[in-house]
Amino acid sequence: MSKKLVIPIGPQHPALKEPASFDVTLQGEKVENILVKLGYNHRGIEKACESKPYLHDLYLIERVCGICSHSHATCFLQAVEEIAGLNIPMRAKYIRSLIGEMERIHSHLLWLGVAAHEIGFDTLLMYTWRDREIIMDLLALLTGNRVNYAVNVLGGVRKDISEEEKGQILKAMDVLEERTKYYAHVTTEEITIKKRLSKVGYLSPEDAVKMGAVGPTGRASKIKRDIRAEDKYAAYGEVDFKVVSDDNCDVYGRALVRVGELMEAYSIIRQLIKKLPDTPLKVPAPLKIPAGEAISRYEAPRGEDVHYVRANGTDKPERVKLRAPTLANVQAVSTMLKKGYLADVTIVIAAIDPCFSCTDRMIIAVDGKSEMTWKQLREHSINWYKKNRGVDFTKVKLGMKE
Amino acid sequence: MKNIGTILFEALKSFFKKPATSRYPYEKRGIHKSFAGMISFEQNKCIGCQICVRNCPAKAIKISKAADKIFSCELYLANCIFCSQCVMSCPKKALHTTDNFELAQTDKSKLTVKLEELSPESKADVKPEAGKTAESVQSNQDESAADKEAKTSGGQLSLPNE
Repeated sequence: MSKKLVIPIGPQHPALKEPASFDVTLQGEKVENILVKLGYNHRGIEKACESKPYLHDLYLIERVCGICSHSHATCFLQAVEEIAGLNIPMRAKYIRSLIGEMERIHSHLLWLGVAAHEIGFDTLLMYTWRDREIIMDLLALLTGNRVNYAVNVLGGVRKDISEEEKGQILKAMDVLEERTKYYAHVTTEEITIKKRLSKVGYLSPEDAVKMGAVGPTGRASKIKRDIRAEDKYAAYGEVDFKVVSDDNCDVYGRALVRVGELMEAYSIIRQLIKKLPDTPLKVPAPLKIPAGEAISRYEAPRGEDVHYVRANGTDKPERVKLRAPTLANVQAVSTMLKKGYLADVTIVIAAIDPCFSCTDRMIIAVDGKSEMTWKQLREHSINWYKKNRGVDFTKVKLGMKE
Repeated sequence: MKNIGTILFEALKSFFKKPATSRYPYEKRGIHKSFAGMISFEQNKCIGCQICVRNCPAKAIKISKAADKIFSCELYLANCIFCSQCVMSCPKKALHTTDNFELAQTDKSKLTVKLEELSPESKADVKPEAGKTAESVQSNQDESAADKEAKTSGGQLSLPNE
């Protein structure tokens, strides 16, 4: 019987692109336990938001994440617009969804490359990142920037899409769809990918619910939940798309879900371009937001993004709280890696598409207790949705066994 | 055997393809005119209302009085986050985005740019890094002229060839 060994992975580690620490307890080559430690990238963005006017907060929130910048900015604005009671013109909603879907394409292509790199399949990394340039160029063309697009303003969007640009988007979508079909072929047929990823990082549907997995991580474990379909924000109520899920429950499933979502994103973009309504781009927005509070949800490429904003009638928010999808997913990593091998650690961590700088928040627990129990919190949320959105969630089953 | 065939086919195909990357400092891809690069400033339009200064989320712009009813604009490139909020805020359209993105400097002091001094012709002087030879500056300018030609021909999205 070999001795147990604790190996620290991170905070600085060649396999991780961002600082996060994992203490892996090993029994031989098998992982006994894994301890996730966050907090190496805490930037105090929530607190900084309280000292800046909404206009500045928008740009700050956009810089929470370098990949899903539009997701965070839109999510934050949705909350502020709800408090201010602004009715966003349809064209603005379409453009927000359009940029959001392009962001999803660029994020998923990036993930596919990173995941391929982690398993040593660098050809796929080169291929996907080459094709990602098409979408990056397209975003630069439409918004003026490659990553922090700054396309949102309070009350609408800033930039319009011309007829010529529409043609370019459609042309790029055709090229990307052709490439993605090839990647779908590679991920399903290529024997090295299949053997390397199958049954690695297994997360059962029960555990996915228990650990609160969101986005592609949850959907790969049979949890068919997508905020775009559930809480139809922006223009998602106007387009047809299916929620891609998979029943492999492992890293292979997560790859298939993301490739499937790429194909869906192309179809959504084509529908949005076709239906783009002719309305103004924005409505005038006040500098001072009336007192109130709102929660906004958004399906970022990595999963559900939640923003809470409380306004107090001034031009600065009183409280901004954001929960990035990685915080929901990172808990599941320890479950995924139970009885796994040390060699699988990096690919399993990469499979949740982690973004640790989005995630790092500081929470001070008073006496180690939260004020609401889980049951009370669930009741409160069901009532809130019934009252404010007219959606009845009473019949939604929480776990598989209830 | 089937797999080896696929690999060989892919490898042979790659031999006859143009590289997906470009030799950057020597070959430049055309950038669309709407790219949010360094801003430009039209002195005769500015009324000194300071809205851009107030709205700048990064405190990167400064408008000061140069003479009676004439204002000068100072831009801190190290602070600027290229969000072009100032361009949007300007009531007189005195600020514009340009496609100038090659703003890296080895000398920190060069990151503060007085914008009214920059006429369109002298803009190229800010671009090259300190320490470059006159030759490379010359070739830089030639290329930027070729670039402009490429840009005027539509700013089309370039798709890598398969």
